[in-house]
Amino acid sequence: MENRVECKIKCEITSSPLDISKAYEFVSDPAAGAVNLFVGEVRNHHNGKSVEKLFYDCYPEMGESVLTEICQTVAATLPLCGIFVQHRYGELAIGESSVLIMISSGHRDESFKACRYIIERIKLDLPVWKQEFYLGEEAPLWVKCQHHNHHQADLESLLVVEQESR
Amino acid sequence: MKIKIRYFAMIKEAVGQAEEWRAITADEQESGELTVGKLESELFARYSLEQFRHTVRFAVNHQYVDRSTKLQAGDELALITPVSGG
Repeated sequence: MENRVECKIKCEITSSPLDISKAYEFVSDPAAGAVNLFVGEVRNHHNGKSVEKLFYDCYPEMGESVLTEICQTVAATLPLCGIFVQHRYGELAIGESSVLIMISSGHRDESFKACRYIIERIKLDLPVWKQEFYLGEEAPLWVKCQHHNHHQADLESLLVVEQESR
Repeated sequence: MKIKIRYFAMIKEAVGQAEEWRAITADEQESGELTVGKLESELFARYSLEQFRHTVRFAVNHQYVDRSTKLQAGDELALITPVSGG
């Protein structure tokens, strides 16, 4: 029997460093058999150039409502226990975390799928913009993510759970 | 009777400001003829934003909308160029 409880959701757009232990504490649940974590980090290279640091501009008020909508969509489709999502803005050094997604669920398949769906929706819809600063003389550039791997329709298929995988 | 307009990232640099207010006339408010698309044409001409035409999206009061959406006093319109979070 499935112990369905309401999924806890917490979404934040923040200029402070992201907090994995806060996420873990939030999603912990006696009904959860799986916890899945995705962290996006600042790498030191892009398109052959050496990246010194990143700056993220954002629209925080809209960002939180977009994140909430994304999480509610997932929670309405998959049986999850908890969702914690944070996206950072402002200046980030190499190795710092820009996005953190932690999901808990009764079984592993749902938390993997929810995690993947949420990061792809963030890439499509979250009003956040990345600017790269390079080592050397080169002027900073706003990153253009024109090659999205998924369209909205493809994303819905990520939320289908195979019952046999239990 | 105003609409707030917000700009971010590349489009903020092109416009030269993060936000501005646009007065809405009693006529526009009553007729409902001021749409997102109409304000888009006005702003794109004023700031020469043609390079963003095919990729920009719009949000009104924090929700993505299409160009036919009607604007009213108190609305907040944002011009959203392709996002690059994650």
